[in-house]
Amino acid sequence: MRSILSARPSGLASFTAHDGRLLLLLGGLVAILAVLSMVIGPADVPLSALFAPGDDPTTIIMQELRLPRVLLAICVGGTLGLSGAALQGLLRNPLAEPGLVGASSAAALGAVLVLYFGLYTAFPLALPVAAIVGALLAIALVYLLAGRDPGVLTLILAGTAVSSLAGSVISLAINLSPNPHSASEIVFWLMGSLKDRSLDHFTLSLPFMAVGAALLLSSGRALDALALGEDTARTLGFSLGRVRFFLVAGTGLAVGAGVAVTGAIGFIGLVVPHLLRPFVGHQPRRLLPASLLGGMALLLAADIGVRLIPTQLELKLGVLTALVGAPFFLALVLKTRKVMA
Amino acid sequence: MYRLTILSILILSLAGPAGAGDKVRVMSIDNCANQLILVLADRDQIVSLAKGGEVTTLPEIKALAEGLPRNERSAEEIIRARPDVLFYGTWTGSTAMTVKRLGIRAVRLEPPRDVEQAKRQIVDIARMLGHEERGRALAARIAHQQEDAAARRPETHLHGLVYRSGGYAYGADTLVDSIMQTAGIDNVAAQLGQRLAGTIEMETVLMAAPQVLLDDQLRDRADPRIATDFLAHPALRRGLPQVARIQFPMAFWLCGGAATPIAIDTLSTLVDTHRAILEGRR
Repeated sequence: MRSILSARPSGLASFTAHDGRLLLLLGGLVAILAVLSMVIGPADVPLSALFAPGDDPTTIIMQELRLPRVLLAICVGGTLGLSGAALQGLLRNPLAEPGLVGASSAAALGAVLVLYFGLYTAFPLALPVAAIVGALLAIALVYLLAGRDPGVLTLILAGTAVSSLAGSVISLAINLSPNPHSASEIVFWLMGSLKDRSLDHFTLSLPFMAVGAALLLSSGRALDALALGEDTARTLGFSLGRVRFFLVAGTGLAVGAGVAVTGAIGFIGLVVPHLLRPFVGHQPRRLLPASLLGGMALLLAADIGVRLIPTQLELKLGVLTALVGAPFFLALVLKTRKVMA
Repeated sequence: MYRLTILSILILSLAGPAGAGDKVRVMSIDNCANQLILVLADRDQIVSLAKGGEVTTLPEIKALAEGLPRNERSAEEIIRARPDVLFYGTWTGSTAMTVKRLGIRAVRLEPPRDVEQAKRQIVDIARMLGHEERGRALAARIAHQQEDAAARRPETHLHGLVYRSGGYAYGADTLVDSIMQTAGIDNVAAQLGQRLAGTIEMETVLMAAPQVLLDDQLRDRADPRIATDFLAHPALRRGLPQVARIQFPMAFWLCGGAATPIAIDTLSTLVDTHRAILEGRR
């Protein structure tokens, strides 16, 4: 309790040696999965090709196709895991995550509109900006609809309402597609993927994801205080308006920039904090960095999975995370049934 | 050459033998059927054509449709018009099933798997329309272009593929594969085991190192879509610096019909040009 209430400038004091081991373990897992992800693909390419000079096809495959894929998996997975942990702390609700509160759908809507009207070709920055605006609006709307201390049911309903709204406009875009090929492109893009992304996509989204992650990571102490209730947090000197702004802006930036280049990838933000919470003593501040690394590892693993699972067409990443995440979500709803009642 | 081809077909259309009273009234709810009907039927036989398909129809064929009624591909329009024959395609099967139940003759237009099948399809449709001679004339025109392309084709073929946004490629048993073979390009997509249309990984294409990539950049620029920037991926630019990017629009190869001889002639000429460029680089 003392560590929670501590108003020291650095939050590192509350991290234990146990946390250090956990973070080291997760970091090691991320490194192993990143290397594995670099060597798995349709073409048989050794890892050494990444560092080879010249323009051999194997070097180009490594540097231009697989490296951006791995870097984006790390950044997008990390920010999704982190956003989930932050939203769960902010809303004091274990079911909150970017997808469930409608942020992913709204970000996808922003991105689809930019891609649909061809703005991306003329002005690439419009893609992350539109997705970020979509995500921010969604979270703000859910917050307004559900109130400051929402129950599980209210939160899910508010998230569903915002997702439905975004989904209906996306459906309109699909409906008005000039041809079936164009419609299927939108549908496939919405399923989320890291395939065939370039370093341009990575550099386009990285600054927004980095600022978003920094905002979220810096809110750890405030989240610890919020866990004790809003009045307690206020008594401890936290400006709740500022905290909310940091967390909403951070999530919007991180999720929006990620969705803009990968499409919608759900459930990472729900699953990762849940798996890691028991290892960090259910303390939001300690959960944040662990969820960041956990998200990286889970998305890297999922992206390896879509390449290894033998299907005629490559399984979309968002489909795989949803197939794993949705039953997890159902189990979680059953677990929290009493709260809902 | 293209205009002459279309003009000759148009003259045949205008000089059809059937009288107006006993003509087969035809309606299309498919873009490829539109193209065939336009060159094989008399104008007064055409009840209406399906809307759309502008970007996948050659301007010469599109011009023939001016002034003709267009439909929204709805069952209501078909029932009201009661054509003698309705042509439908892959995307309009459910509408066709609905009107079939009400006694309207509906014929499905299958995408031809090669040039030979396209020729047979042309003759079959022309026969249904009461103008078999026009179908035979168009089929002969295609055969003539095939012979011409074969005479121009050197023994060693180029290696290439149609690679479109999103990694879409056309393998064996497709009309475009057959047109490529006729013009002297071995289809890399088919060699990689692709049958019909599907996606091929960019990594796989880079390793296969094709000499030519056939795409539809003009259309992509005019109609920017989600996967449009796929073909501008740095890996393709860097990995295939010598590849010849040949502009070969879908309008040439999506449908079998009057576009087919033009496609064979155009691609053969493009192959000649690029072969000279490639040989000059050696």
